[in-house]
Amino acid sequence: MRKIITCITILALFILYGCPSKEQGAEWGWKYQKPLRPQETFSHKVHENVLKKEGLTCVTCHPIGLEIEEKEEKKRAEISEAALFPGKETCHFCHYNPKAGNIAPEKCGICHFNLLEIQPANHNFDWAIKHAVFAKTDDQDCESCHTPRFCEDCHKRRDVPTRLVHDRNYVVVHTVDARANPRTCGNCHDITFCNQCHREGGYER
Amino acid sequence: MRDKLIGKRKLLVTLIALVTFFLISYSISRSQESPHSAMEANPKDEGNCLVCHSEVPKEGEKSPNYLLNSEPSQVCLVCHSETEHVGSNIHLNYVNPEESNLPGDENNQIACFTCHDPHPHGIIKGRVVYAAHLGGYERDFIKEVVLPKKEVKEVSLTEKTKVLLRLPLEDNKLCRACHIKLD
Repeated sequence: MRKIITCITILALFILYGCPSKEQGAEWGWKYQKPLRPQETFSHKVHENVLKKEGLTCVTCHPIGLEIEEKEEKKRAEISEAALFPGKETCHFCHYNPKAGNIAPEKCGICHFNLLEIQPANHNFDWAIKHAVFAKTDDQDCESCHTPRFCEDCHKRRDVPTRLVHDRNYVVVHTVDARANPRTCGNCHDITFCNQCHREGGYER
Repeated sequence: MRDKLIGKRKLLVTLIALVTFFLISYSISRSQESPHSAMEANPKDEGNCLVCHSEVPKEGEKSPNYLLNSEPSQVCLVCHSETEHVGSNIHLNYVNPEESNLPGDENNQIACFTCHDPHPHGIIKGRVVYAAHLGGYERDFIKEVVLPKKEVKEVSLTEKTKVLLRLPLEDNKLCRACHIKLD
């Protein structure tokens, strides 16, 4: 009896949460929610002042005055609609612009509900260990998505109760690891990191 | 004497041929010319009015169908396409909001003339029309950021400025006439 109830519960849960819905978009399957389109998430009210300040009018993002040179009427209609509503590139210009830098807050989660879907392929198994090499090689590459604060939240903050890279009392016991295998410190820290405290053989902090 | 007569005849025939040629070419060029620019070139020529109107409207005269040759929703489409420019076809099916103070068609839906005034500046007393000028920064932004979407990447879109707008695009005055509340 218990088995039957368990099976029914699992089946019910699968039906409720496991199937793709039309809103989510079938092509995205049951795993992720499809990111919202800009016209579904963009708030004109929120952007009103900043757009005015930047001298951008309605027709900057909705270039309604442009003439379409395509001859076929059906295609013209498609182009008309596509050109009228801005795409993700327009949002990204201010909110995610690795080349020129962001001029607006980086809030990927507004459209990308599941950040896994925009994660680079190498951010998979064991990335917590492997990321150090990539971060040291090209920290700007990390900063194309993450703010410097993102790194600091794990590596430097000691005012949060969660365990980050080291235990919160690691400053007391780190000497054991450091003497046993100094290289492990070097995986993340550069040589000057130790010297910031251990200067001229003393313990200034 | 006979030679002189033949010479005069030849001259007369040549003149008639030339006049006929100029008249035909003028009428052809006129038929191809936009009535909007023809009005601007010759404001007193009432023939231009009759391209769209069934009779020449008197000053201040109003009529539900604007004295047009065809239904208000269709009159512009005799010459223009619904997809004349980006977004035109999308606007045409929407109801013209009362607050806009802009004219609508026979079903109070948005028509071409809701945003555009078919009459150039000076044709109707006291009426002002506006051009659609994009600033340099706006033009670059559209070209570099807005248009490189995959659907419109390979399509050439050109800017047209002399479009006889009822309200200026500056400060979003034309758009905000209908899009009053910001979402």
